[in-house]
Amino acid sequence: MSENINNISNNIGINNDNVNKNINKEIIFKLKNVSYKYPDGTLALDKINMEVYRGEILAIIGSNGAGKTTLLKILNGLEFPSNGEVYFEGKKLTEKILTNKESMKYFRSRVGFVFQDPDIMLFSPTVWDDVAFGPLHLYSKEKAINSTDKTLKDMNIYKLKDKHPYNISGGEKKKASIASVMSIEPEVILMDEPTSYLDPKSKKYIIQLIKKLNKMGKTIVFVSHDPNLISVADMCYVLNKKIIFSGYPRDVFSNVELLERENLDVPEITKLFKKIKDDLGNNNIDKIPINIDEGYELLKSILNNVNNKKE
Amino acid sequence: MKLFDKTIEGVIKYINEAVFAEKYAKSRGILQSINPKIKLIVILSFVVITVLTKHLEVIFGLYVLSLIFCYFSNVPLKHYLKRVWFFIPIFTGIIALPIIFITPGKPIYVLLNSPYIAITYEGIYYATIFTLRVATAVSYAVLLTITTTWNDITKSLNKLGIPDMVITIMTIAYRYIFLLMNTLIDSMYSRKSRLCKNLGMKESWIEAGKNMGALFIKTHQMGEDLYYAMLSRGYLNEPQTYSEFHTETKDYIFLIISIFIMAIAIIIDRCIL
Repeated sequence: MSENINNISNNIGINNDNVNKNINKEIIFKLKNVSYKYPDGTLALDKINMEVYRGEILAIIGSNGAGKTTLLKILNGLEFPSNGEVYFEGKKLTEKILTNKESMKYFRSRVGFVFQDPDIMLFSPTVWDDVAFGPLHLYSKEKAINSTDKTLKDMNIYKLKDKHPYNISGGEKKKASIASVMSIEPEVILMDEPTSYLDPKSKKYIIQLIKKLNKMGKTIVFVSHDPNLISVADMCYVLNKKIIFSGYPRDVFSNVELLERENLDVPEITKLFKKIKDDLGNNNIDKIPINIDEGYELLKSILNNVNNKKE
Repeated sequence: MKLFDKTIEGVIKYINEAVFAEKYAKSRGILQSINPKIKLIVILSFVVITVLTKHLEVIFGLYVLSLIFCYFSNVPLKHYLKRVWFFIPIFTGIIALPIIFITPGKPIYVLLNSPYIAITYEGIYYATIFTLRVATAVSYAVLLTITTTWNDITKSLNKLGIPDMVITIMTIAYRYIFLLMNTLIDSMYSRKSRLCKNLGMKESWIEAGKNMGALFIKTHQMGEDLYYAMLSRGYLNEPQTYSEFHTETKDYIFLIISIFIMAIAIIIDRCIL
């Protein structure tokens, strides 16, 4: 039995996270020695060097106070580094560029930012107005209206359009806040803890949405502690003021020392297969799945193999 | 502290229900069917006429008219009267009460001979006019807010020339004041859940001060994040709003009838009485 399922995982396409994915190796964001100090002098980021590639899902992981949100704000041009440089599409991102109306419009229409707290993002009298806020500032009125209606329909929240954001549930607020960025139709979406404070169903919805958006060609950069969400990323950076680890989610989940040091957890599916692997011997499952899709494929192959043997 | 807590809690819950319900604004009725821009102009005109009217009979007529509007707008009369008369004793009572005693005129009941203090006919008349005038003006204002969503009110104001910046500030204030009030309630509850004895007056005020300080810090932080959220979606200190109201025949009919009623009220007040 153990021989039969030896290296099955290698044959079903979960060997390397990025192998089957068509990521354009074009750099969209590049950070060179970026450091950031808070006004009180506390160091938030220390000499960060990183790249974001077009079409990838990038996870930024780290414990509380590691500087993750600050890093997203720097990528979105809301804060500027105390030292170092940020490049977007090869051009240096400076405060001066973003005060120029045309450059600002271009950048804001390309990069969207979903804040952690949806109450921060929903400040208009109705959900429709909030979703229309970005497009109305960036595009013509006609395009703004069409984009708003389309986004609300695509995200199945058209029924909320006349509701006051104060009167909707937490999950609906999160969807509305994502819709308010989606309506801009950005190419890069930055997300700060997109699954925090959500019920399991809403979390699942957000994870599926991120996958769907990525399939549509969007580049996603998110900050999260959620192992199920991290597992869908193509690449991970573990941050604690500076980048202390970079690699595939599988590398992160298999690095016990790192997980413990950074208070991170692994997905339940990974725990299950790890237990099976430990019980059946070290070589039974070569690569432990890190998400449901991989687990399903691996389990299906194992069961098929067992059935074939019986026949 | 108990009284302070209860008062804050009661006020917040009442305002939350009153402002956010929007139940009647979405029901079917005469005022709900009118273009919000026209409705805003008409109701504000009624408020102005009420304030300028001199005679009790005319003010009373205008008040009755507001009740008729309320009835045909499918707003329960009890709910409407409660909302109007909830504030009247607080705001007008303080001003109206002394008028009864200090207005010179025909005495109805003498309270003191030296110094001379008496309830006069003129005093009661002016106090009644004042109270009814305020009640009528408030009635129209409540009628507007009860039959119109906040969104439509701000958009109508915008259409009438109020600058975008003012509308944006109003909208944000409306949105966040309640969120912060709820934060305050939550912090009150969290404190209550950890208390095992009633605090004395001095301790209570110290705690209230801490609450206010914490709320101020949160407000400041939220304000900054909110600005970032706007900035990240293309905001450049030039608010863009969108509104589309269509004026139909029924709106023109409503406007003409209202102008006619206002003209009659002015003529009766200034020429006949």
